[in-house]
Amino acid sequence: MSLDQHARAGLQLLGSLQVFSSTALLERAESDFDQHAVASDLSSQTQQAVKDEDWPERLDTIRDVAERSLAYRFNRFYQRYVAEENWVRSIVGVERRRDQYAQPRSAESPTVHPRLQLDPTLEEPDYYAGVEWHLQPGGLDSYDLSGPMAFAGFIPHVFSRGGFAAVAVGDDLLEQRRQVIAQFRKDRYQRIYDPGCGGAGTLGLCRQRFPEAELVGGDLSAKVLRNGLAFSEQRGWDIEFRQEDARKTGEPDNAVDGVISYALHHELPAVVSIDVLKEMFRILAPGGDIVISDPPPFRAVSPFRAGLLAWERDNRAEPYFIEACMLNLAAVLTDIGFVDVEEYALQETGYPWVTRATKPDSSSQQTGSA
Amino acid sequence: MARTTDKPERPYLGSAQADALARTNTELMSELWILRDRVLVLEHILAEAGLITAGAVGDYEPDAALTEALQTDRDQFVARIAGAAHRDTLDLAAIRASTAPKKR
Repeated sequence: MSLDQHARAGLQLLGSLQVFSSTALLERAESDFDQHAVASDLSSQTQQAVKDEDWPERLDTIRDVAERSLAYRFNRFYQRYVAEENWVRSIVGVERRRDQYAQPRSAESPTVHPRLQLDPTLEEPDYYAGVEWHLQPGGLDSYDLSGPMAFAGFIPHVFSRGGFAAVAVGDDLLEQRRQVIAQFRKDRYQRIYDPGCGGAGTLGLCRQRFPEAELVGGDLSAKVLRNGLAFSEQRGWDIEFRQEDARKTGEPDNAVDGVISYALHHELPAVVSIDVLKEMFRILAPGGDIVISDPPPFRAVSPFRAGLLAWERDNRAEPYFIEACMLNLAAVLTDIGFVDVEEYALQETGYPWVTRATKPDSSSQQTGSA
Repeated sequence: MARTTDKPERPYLGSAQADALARTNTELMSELWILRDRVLVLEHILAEAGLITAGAVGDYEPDAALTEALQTDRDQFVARIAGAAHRDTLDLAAIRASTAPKKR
């Protein structure tokens, strides 16, 4: 069901504005940046050699140089404007057709279902409570018609065009996610767990690639789990959803042979990311694989691009983006005891950035600090 | 208590005033597009219904009466928008003149 003309055209305008901002304006901004003497100094030092404690000052310098470009300033202004109006126009559009959206959805998204375990006693972690992720007014669980808001609103008209955060204009988000799943090292898995699944997007693609596998998704948000269940059930994907903290899942030791996470770790403080990965190590059986995809770390991109990633923290309600981009997931996995750790980008832009590893077959190889 | 959706203190365009103007301008750009989209949709629907031919609006040449009416509307439109930043005080006669009946 579509939005009305005003909402559709208004959202499509945002898509066009984001494309313009992330092509013509961004190219000009990057060119302006590269011509600056300070930028040459920054670029001469490999980002991989930058110490953690030096990043805050370095990022401030990058921002100060970038802001000398009018193109950069307008690029960032439009990014913020689109990021806000995404929500506003989608919600207004859905509200104008509330009766049509609300009725069928209430029947499709049950609170009780054999493949849905909600935990009303689960307390929101401190790092999560009160965050209005990505500027969504009121946060993830605030809006009852969040499904139509996304799938009739900003996803087809704005997100699908790319040009935000680490996503380039023209990127096929669905294909990117499919390519991330293709990074699993084996052709068959028995049970795959997705911490912070956010819905059925990643596991649905896992179902296509691994038709025989048991699929389990955990998340803190009851609403996204309910939406994910409804979406999954409509397509017969047979996915189990559980409301739980990814640091303490309901999975027994060695219960799964695959773990996938897509765009999760940049939403977590570094210490939480590490705890989640320790938990994944616990639930993975020996020989099991983990595949992680998130925006690239600062060390893998140019100073200008590092500045763009850092901007997300204060301007798109991504409170942990900077510490996530400073965190070396590959090193963390190695410390925990994973082996065959690899990290690489799937595209020249540096995104999607993949880190993958395997839990060693023999417990004697587990030398980490888990 | 601060919310994560609050506007950042650091302005994007150098000052909060410049940001505010740019927001207004961008909102106007949106509304302008929405209106253009609507006109194009309307033309398409009318053509599909056989009430006009494709391109009829683009090729239409207003007669003298419509030309005059459009000019009156256009002059008032420009005066309102271009003059918005240059009004120093409120003048009853000017306000009444801006609402004068349009000639048809």
